[in-house]
Amino acid sequence: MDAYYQTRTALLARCFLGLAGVVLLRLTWMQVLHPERYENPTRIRYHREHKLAAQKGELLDREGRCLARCELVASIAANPQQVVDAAAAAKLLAPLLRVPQSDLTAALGRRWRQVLLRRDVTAAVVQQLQPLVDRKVLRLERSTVASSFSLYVFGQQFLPSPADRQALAVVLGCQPDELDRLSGLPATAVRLRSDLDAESAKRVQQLGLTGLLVQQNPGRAVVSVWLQPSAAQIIQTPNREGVMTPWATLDPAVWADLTPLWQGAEVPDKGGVEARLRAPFVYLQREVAIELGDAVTALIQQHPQELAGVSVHREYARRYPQGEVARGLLGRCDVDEHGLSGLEQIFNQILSGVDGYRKVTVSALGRPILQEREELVPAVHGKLVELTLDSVIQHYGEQAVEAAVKEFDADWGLAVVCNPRNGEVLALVDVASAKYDVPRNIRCLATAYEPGSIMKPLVVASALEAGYCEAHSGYYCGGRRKVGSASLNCIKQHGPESVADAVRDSCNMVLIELGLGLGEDRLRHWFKKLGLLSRTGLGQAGQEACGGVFEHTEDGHWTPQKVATVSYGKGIQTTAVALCRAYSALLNGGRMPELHLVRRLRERDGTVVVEHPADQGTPVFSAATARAVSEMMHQVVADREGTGQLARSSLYDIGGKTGTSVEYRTHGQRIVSFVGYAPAKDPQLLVLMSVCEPREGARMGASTCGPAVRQILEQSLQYLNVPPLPQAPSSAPGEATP
Amino acid sequence: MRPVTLSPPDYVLFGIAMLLSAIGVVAVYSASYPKIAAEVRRATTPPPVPGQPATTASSDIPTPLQIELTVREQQAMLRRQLKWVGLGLCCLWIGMSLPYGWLSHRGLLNLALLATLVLLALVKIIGTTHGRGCERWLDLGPVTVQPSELAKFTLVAWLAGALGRLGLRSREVPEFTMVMCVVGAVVVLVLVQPHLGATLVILGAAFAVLWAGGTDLRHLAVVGVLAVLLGLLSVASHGYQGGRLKAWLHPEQNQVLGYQTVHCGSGFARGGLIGRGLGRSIEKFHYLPEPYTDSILAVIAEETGFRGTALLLLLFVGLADRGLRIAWRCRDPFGKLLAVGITAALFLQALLNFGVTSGLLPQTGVGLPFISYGGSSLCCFLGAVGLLLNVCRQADLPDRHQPELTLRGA
Ligand SMILES: [Zn+2]
Repeated sequence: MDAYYQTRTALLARCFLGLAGVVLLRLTWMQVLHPERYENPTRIRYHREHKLAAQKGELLDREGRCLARCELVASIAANPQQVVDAAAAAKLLAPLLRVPQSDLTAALGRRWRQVLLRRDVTAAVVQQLQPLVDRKVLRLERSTVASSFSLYVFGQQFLPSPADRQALAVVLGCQPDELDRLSGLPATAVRLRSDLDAESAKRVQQLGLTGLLVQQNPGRAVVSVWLQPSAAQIIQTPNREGVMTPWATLDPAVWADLTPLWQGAEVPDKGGVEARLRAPFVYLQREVAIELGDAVTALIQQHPQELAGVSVHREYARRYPQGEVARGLLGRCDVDEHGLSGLEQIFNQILSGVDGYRKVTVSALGRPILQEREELVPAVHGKLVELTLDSVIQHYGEQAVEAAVKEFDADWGLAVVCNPRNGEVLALVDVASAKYDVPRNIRCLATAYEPGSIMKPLVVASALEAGYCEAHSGYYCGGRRKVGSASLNCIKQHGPESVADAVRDSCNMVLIELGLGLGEDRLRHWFKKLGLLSRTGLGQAGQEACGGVFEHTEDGHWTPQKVATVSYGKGIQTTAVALCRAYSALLNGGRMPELHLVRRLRERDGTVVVEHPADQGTPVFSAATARAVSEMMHQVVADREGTGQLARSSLYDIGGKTGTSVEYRTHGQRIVSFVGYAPAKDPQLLVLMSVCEPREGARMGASTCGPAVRQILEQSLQYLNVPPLPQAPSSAPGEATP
Repeated sequence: MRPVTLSPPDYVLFGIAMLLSAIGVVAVYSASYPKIAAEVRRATTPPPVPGQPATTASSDIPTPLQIELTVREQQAMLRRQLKWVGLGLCCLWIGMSLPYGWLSHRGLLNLALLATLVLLALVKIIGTTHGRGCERWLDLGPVTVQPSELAKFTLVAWLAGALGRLGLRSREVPEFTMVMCVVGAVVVLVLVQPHLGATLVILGAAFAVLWAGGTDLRHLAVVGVLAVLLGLLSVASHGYQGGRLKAWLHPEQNQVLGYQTVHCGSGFARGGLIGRGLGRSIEKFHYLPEPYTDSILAVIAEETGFRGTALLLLLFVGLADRGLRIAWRCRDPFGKLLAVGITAALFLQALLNFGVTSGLLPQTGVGLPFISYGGSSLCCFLGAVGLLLNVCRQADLPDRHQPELTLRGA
């Protein structure tokens, strides 16, 4: 053949080689050099994550009785898009669900819903859209939006701990010193900030401090534009199973008419707006018994045509098997089982656990690709919290306090039952009368109030321990005494009184003497040692208040008048649990144990994670001082002249102290208290009860709280099998049961 | 007649063709799994109970019966593909052992061309669409054939015959015009199916034959310019092609037309250098619309990585090399041009598929020779390799038309 042909063939070969070279370069570029550019440019989801829900833990009492747990329940839901005949479905379901048929028909038939297109449109745009409003395509909604919040401070109630003050200063962006000046200001509120944004306002509220008020400033009027369901154009399209179903779309002409609405904003995706028009999943009933769910499932199987789109979902719901016992204390959870109040909130983190997930690679049809390895992060289930609470004692406490609040027409009452030997809290009782809302927090922890005379044994013990006086040291009560500029009264003129008599008679004058003798520094020292001015740690900040002494002078010191009143429990405030802790020191041979609510944390399989360590208690007083003061308290109840005689029991030897205070902080609110313990020789239980604003009866600690405390002690000690007094006559049990 | 001693066939070429077919069997086996599994699932899953969600967790895990059926179906698919390879080998043998005289026989070539034209016309009239927007298939009872696959080879054979016969006369305008009319007729018939991919392959192969056949470069240039102008015109006027072009430039912005490009690219990129391993493509799970036909290269790229795609490219280059070597060696102009044409058709189609799946070129539906699933195309390609081998065996024989065909004679 001629060379000319051969040349052309050779050229063709080179040309082919060149083309192959180009392709090779492309392959190198795509597969070796820059694969990341081509891997998933449209960000398709190749994976599906399935949540593995962590099961929430249980709350158990000390005997292992379950207080709160999650139970399997059923929720009945429907996808209105799939419901063929709402009326027929409602007719079938109504008798089972016990819901009016008309309500069900409405819920099942609501295929389309209105869509918020834009908030805050200008008047000019509203003008332009008027024709659409007239055609019922759009609906205008006029509302106001909050622009900012104001923060008010009530100086007399604003007594934050240093840590809280620091936290508040961080939120407000100021120096902590600036907040110092606000404490103890006169009664009128001071507007501290007028331009808090929503975020800061929320954070201030989360701090949960007393004496702060966050208020919304007047808002600005805005117009929101809603797309009405009637604007949807309903077409019939086949769904995934090939059944023709109605489907909402928007007429392009209507969509074009909406153009003025998008001025100055991004135009939304038409498909997205259409998707929002289609009502999703609605709940017909949530968290009903699993049996009802099964019944509905059976009904769906019987009538697959009529009940198309209705489904039953099994899920877990929080249940409280002990019924009303400790119900307020346990608090509640939201639908996601997140603790909102009470113990549920305090132990939320421990109880909650961490959800896991299963991540699978899926095909374009959404089915998992089996040969791809799935990523599995198992759920960490919530722990079981074994509390020190005893639901029986809790029940006795709730009964007694509720009866007292009712009998004396009080605002609220609280009681703490604890074991002074080891600091275990056996009951935390909160009762509020009907006119009071259920509190978000547990009042025994969250409310700091003036203890009144029940402070006296603590101050006496401090004076004895400090060596300032003896139990038999003699003083004189003149019924009235001037300290500084103030004139302070006793209940009556007691005349000559020993220290022991002063506790028995609740004499203010002797205590003033002791307080002034000890002086501010030593009182501060002892209050601190007794933990009256700090948290017990039962709840976190925001759930537990911190005690304090208010009305400082300019230099931060107490006036002599303050020193005098603090000695008999006025002008100082503290919480019920902090008082119980301090009293435990008197009843436990001078050693103060830490109060605690949790005996141990367990995993679901029973293994113990954390156990509360055996607590010897912090030494506060000598055993002799403790013995002396507890004997004085015994006399309060046992002595013929004692102020606490109403708490005397024929079953057990009870000791205690009465207290009545007129709340300084809240302008004359009367809080009466009684702290009692038994048996006097070997205290097993300590009960502190306070009632706010009793309107009936003598309105004194002894009369209002004394009998109730006696009742709680008698019932609880009998329940705990503590032998009653040997000389108790056979009629005693009848007396003990009210 | 002089005594005829044939040279041995090119075993390397045969080996490459076999290797490619074998790769094809494995690749189709892997790439067809998701579709088979889905079909089995659809056939064995009871219709959904209304009111129950259609996809519950339990229905995502195949039952043992479904797994068994899937395996059985896949083995059946494997057997079917192997059967096609066997049939293709028969075609190869036939192509190789047809008497050379028949191949170059003028009447037979004209007959083949006429038959092709009739088939192409029939496709337009009674063709089936196979679920796609184009009429490319012809239903012949048990099998459906794609006449455009056949058209490539009959056209190059006819061109080789015509140019070989014409010799120097092909440089004259009337003869050239006559040849171009035939080429134009075939191209137009394929283009109106519409089957752009096959059109490009046919055009390329025809161009290669015309080039190697010694036609006047100026004529070729005029035709080339005309073809490009026509192409541009069709791009400008035809919405279908126009949208495709935009989707090619920015595939990620076009959810519909760019979809295949994007997912082919994902396959290449996820494969990387090494590949995810045989059978482990993700894109084949219904992301790629044509996982075992047009887009099979993306599955291979994802499973075997750059190593696999480069090897495959190398095999096709090797195929082209052997084919052009045969053309180079062949003394007979018909054989030479036939070898050039067949090699060009094979190689250009492979390259077009590489270009399309890797996003270098806009989407057109062409299969990867020897690899993509499809019996008629596999038979055609192996038959064409047989023809190449046939030419190879005749290559060293002296040219029968030697005296009249000398270029720049004397
Ligand atoms: Zn007195």
